[in-house]
Amino acid sequence: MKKIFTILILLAIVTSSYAQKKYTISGYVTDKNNGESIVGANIYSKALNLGVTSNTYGFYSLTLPQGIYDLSFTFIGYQNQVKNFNLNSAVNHDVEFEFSSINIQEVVVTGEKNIVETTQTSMIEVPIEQIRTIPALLGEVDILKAIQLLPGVQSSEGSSGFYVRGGGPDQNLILLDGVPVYNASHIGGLFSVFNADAIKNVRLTKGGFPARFGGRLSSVLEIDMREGNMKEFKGDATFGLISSKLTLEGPIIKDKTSFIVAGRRTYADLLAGPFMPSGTDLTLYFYDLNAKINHKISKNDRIYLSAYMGNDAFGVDYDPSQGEGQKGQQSSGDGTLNFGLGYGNLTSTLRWNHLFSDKLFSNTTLTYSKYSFNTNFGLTSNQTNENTAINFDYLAGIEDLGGRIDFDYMPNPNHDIKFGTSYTYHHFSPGEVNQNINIQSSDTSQNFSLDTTLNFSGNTNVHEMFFYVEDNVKITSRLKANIGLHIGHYSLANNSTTNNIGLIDKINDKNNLSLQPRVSARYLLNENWSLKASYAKMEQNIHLLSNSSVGFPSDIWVPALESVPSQKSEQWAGSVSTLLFQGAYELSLEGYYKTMSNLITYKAGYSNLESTESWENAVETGGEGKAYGMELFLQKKKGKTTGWIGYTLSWADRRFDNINFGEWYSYKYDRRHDFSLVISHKFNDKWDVGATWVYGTGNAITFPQGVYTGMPQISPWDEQIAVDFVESYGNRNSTRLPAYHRLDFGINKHKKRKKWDSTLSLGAYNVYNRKNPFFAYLAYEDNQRVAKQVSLFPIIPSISYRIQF
Amino acid sequence: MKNIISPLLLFSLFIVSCDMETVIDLDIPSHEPVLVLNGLLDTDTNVQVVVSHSVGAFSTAIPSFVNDANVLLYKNNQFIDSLLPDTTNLVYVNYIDDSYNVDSLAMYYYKSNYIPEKNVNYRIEVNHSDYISISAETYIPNDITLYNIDVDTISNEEKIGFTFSFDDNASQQNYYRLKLFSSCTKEWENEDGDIEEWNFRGDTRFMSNDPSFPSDIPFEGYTFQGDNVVFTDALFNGQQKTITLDVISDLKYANCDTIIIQFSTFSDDTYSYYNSLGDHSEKGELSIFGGEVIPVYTNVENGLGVLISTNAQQIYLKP
Repeated sequence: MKKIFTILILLAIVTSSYAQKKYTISGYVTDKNNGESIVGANIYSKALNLGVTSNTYGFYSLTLPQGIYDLSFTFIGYQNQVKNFNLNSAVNHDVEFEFSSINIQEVVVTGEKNIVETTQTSMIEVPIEQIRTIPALLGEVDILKAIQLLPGVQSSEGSSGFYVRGGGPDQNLILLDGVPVYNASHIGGLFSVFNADAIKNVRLTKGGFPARFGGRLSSVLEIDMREGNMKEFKGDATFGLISSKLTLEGPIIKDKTSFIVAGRRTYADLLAGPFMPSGTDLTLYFYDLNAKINHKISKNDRIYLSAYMGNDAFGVDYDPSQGEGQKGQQSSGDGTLNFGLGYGNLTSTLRWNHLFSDKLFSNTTLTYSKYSFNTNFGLTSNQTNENTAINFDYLAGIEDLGGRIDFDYMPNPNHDIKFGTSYTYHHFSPGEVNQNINIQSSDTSQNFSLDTTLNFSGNTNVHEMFFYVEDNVKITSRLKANIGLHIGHYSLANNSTTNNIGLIDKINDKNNLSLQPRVSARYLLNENWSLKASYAKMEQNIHLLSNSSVGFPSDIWVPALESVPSQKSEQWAGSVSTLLFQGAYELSLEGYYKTMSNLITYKAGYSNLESTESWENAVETGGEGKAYGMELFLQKKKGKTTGWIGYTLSWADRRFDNINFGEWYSYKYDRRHDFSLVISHKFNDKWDVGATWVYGTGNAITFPQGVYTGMPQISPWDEQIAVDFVESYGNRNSTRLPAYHRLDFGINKHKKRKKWDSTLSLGAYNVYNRKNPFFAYLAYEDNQRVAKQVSLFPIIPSISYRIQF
Repeated sequence: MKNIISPLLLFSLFIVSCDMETVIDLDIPSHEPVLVLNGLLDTDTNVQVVVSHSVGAFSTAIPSFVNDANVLLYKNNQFIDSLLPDTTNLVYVNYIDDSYNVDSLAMYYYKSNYIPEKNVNYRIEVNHSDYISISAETYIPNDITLYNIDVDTISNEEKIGFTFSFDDNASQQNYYRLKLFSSCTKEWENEDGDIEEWNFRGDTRFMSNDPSFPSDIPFEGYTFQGDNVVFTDALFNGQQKTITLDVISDLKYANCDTIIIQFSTFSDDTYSYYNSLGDHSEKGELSIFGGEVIPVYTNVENGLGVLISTNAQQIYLKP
């Protein structure tokens, strides 16, 4: 009996120790100066070796056993805080971080923010302040240009398009405040649509995708807009060589409601206008506008409304009667010639953050996104006996309406469970032509009138949904994993219009459910070293058809169909990560292997601007892709000198049945070696400099390898026989352009005044004027055939002046 | 500030205007010259082909014709004849060199007295001591009979309508080409009282809304306008096909009494060649907007060029 009683007492003691009460500390982390939420701040208990990081909206939740603890709150660039808590009930504690101009303190290994601790492989976060220090083309700070400098990311000269781990430009999910942006380029790719003044965070994920992401194969680029200064009214204006921008932000109700508006416009046409020939008007500009309102309804509720609008316009209007020597002269007839090209994005997001409890956070989002492209040609002619007016318009685009809800549940420090659902209604309009022809003649029998709209491919509407669940689980003190499942569903809507009889049969047939497992794991070797591995299966239900080498805005988005199925990929990645010099440097070495299937490309010779065929009949389908390589990344985010070194060794190949005789060939953006050095140094509060050096193996191209005589042709006019010389190309992409390398440099001079601060920035793009290859062709010079290369940018100096008030 | 901006802008303009095209040393896979065979077999003419050789893209040599090759003709894998170079009737062909000057090359037809037959597979082999042997095959389809031919010059003064029908062979995929041209000689008296003779010949433009023809943005009520068209039997396989064309009366046709319809049928490699030839010359230039290049189709094994065939019917009309 005594023995039983003793055992029972012991069991009670043991049980009671496991049943020790736990309480949650939660709250929001913000910047004290402007009230902006801080993403990824570390909240850590050294005593328990437990910690968390603030989520995308600055919310954190940490559940600990009852007791007294010191919690440290840290974030790069801000002063560390330590607070003591007597945890005997739930605590709500909001943190306001104060900016630290030079933070050279030791990195405290906390939570899961540094590269060693994070479970996530293949993810890079670039602080916006670091992006600002990177010398930029024409002085225009550009987020996508900065992304192109990261390992694993390839790009094309002068283009904002980027290619991640052998993927195509359509395989990147670009999210601006959670809403997809379909064409992130201005002026054909020279600049991106993102105004750095309106942006807070930039994160690129190249692999090991968490289950909450889906819809694209190769990358997720998350760009978060700033929320607006909650404390005081601020302004920021920059004047550059070809563009200027203005940002205004401030509280509507202090500490409760804020706004931010950022606008930008180029004025290349205003500068070029005086140099245009008489009678010629040039339109060449882009503008964009970002706006956001952020309102705290209560302690548990917050809403955000953000919008982006941007447009590019290029046009030429020619009136010969206004030409030199013509003005004021009477003529028997006149006319005009007009050409125009325009494209743009419109996005809008309404978000509601709600705290169900100190452990359950939700975000509900409604989104709208529209991308449209149009080109138009017009001709008028007014003669004595006849008036003619001809107008052609080509229109294409995509429009999305969507909603999603995400939950973030943190029951204890060992689990961070995310789950949610999303629905998007896509409206695809791959191309239609409007024709207006009106001929009025004195001979009425010659009159002709035509007003018609031709829709070659039909408009298609699709439903796309997904559910996901993921858990970031701490399995042991060393082993942590993010395990998730993304379930996608895709179907065509009944109200699609089409001239394609086959497509009508496919409506209701295309019904696709996909299971996409995702897993990544991290094993801590010690506090400075970790090993990671990941696997992700992805599916993409929309395609981008492109037949140019520069991401021309005429590229069109089209839906997956039964004849053109969804693209799929699987990617395995593994890495070793470490912190060096007491955490001042983060170093990772990562290898990856990716396979892709159901890729598509235009059939040879097809151009969507010239053909009236439905796009489905003009594509090669069933393509395969494989990409593998190794990426080395060394990053320093703190101190007077910051920057990174990135090196990628990679291979990327493609295969289509009807291309290159069905054999594998190098993908155009297969770049064997890719190196980037980005460095900035702050001398003092007045002066800082930045430099970038990049090197990349030349792009793969298909270049003539031989010449031969074609079939003799008999001229119908004089029956003479003639032959053409025909070029023989050999295998697709079997030639390499010369290597690409470039140095950019910039210097900033800051001046603080009573009421406003200013920064004068001087820089140069391509400092040593390297003639980098844009494309090459076979030419004849000095009595011999040669290869000629066209380069895009020589050395380009820049200057800009920024004022902050 | 002013002292910086003006020279900076001037410097920018100067730099940007610099020539951005440069000759580069491009490392391309080496090209071993190969034999090139070009020939068009048809059921109305003796077999004749041309043989030349290719050169490397950067070679200074001209890809000239070869007059000492051994050319063999096979019918359904049975040897028929050796084609011999006609060195007595030398033909000088014009070509435009890399400097856009017109020059000429001596060309040798390899000929045989044999006239190809329809519904037969032909192979030509070419051997030469300096090159790897090459061969190519082509199939000549059966005749196509045109019927219900109608010429309408009454309904519309400005246009002449042509209609005809034929039956498509259901057992195979068929390819067709339709070409209209006029050819005649006219005489008249000039101002000085002398009699002048003018030759009119050329392709005749026609219009149609036939769904089998490649369609373009409709203009003046027609989805196709051109002087020749290549199409397949995808929309009428195994059925009777009727084609309607319109020709503008006041074009060059009006100078001639006769217009000729040439209706050809050929095999898939001939079709691939015609398609690729047009695409190669029009598109696929290595340029900023060009995208991928389009090679000219070849069916020559171990070589370049093409051996194609056609079975053509010609109808002379007297509207």
